[in-house]
Amino acid sequence: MRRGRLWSLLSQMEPGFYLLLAASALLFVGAIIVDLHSDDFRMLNFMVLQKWLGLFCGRPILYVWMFILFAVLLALGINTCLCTGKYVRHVYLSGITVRKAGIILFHLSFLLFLAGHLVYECTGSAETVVLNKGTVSRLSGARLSLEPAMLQRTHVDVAGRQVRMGTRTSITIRDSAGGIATIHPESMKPAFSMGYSFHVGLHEKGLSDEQIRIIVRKSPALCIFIVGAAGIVIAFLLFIFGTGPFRLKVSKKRS
Amino acid sequence: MNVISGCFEYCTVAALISYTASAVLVFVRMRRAGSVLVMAGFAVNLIALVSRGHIGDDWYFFPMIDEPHLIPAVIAVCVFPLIRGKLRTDAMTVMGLLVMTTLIAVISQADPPIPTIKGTPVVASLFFLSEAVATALFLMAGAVACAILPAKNPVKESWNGLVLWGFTIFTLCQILGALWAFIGWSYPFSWSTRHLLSASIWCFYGAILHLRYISMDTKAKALLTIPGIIPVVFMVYHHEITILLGGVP
Repeated sequence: MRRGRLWSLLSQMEPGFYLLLAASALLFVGAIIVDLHSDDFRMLNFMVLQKWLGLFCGRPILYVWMFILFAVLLALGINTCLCTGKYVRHVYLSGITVRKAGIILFHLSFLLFLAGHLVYECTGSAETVVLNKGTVSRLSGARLSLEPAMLQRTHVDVAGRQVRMGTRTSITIRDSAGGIATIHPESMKPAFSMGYSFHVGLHEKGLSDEQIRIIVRKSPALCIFIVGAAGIVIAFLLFIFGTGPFRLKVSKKRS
Repeated sequence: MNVISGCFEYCTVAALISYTASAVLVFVRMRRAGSVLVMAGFAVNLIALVSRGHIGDDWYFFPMIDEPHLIPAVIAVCVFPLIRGKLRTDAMTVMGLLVMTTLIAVISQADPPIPTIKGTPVVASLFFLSEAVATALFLMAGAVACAILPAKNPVKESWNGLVLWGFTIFTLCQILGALWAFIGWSYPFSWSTRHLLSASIWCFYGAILHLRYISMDTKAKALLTIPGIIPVVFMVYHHEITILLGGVP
């Protein structure tokens, strides 16, 4: 009985509104906390949720807002799912328009983003290594060995000051199965190979001319984000073409 | 730094004077003269923005779209139809916002940032451009919501259009931001102040968009819309706020 009541409450738009406000407030509080403890939170960008739980147990007061945020986002996901389902049913009965299709697609894309974030936080790997030119370095997590053959740093003169404008490198990768590939990542231009993305680190303090910092990341969530982003762009186009002077009509009312 | 002889500093001050004068003219119901001065202010504001891009002997796009300096220009463009329209209170409040944001740009007067590798991708420029437009629309929505508070029985939720367009542009901006963060730092989302504030603003205005489906008094809806200004101001003027509080930006 109680479960049924909770279900019907979650399938209404009003709780969704308050959940969005709650998520916003929690994220704002989180932003202030992160601003004050930026070093503690920076490592979370290279850590999966399972490992983060260990940190949470150690310092619950610092991370409790994140825990509440995850619960609110979960409830919001369920609410969006139920409300969108109800809306789809209503649209099916009353007849679809371009604008309504845009609204449905936007909410589905939002759900994809929420799911993508869950996958992003729980799966994948990220590792930062400092490579020496001509030396083979093994990654502990990714089971790859990397050997930079070429390393080139470019500088430009800006108003009499030498400003670093990026680093380019050429790296030979070998995996545990004997596969070999050569990639050419640059600053702000990652390379993709063997299911991983290879990023040249922008932070170069403490590195010699023969060294480079590389971030190796594997994240299955990226595909979900790409689909979600495409969905949102299409949804906005549908919404724009379904409203105002561009209005298109495609449907007939079903009886 | 050899910036075109501090041109942008004088132009920002000139834009502030022009916007203030136009606000006074709109207040005394001289709408046509007010519109002309807003246009003049916008032209000077644009010169200020473009001159920020001249560093050394080259032109760079990235410093031209520095948000605290770009937001007044966006508001000036949007306030133009408001001045000529019938909603005088809305126009006055947004004019006040325009003067305030320009004043902050004048006070902060930070030198244009030295171009770095982070700002070279097109996606970075598009991100800041879209964010400036979206945040300007959000600030205007907050101002318009403030404007209806003194009314006895307000009916029209005139901030809805601003929130809708702001939200649309802000969502696209978040996609661009995620792409920029991924190609530069390897993650599309990070546990940082900037990303969390953006997410907070997105959720807030997402909620405000659903207000029209919730039975509530128009004034209560306006009161709910106004707090959105807080995270927006905190995000855009984070650098200035940190300096004001005595911290290192």
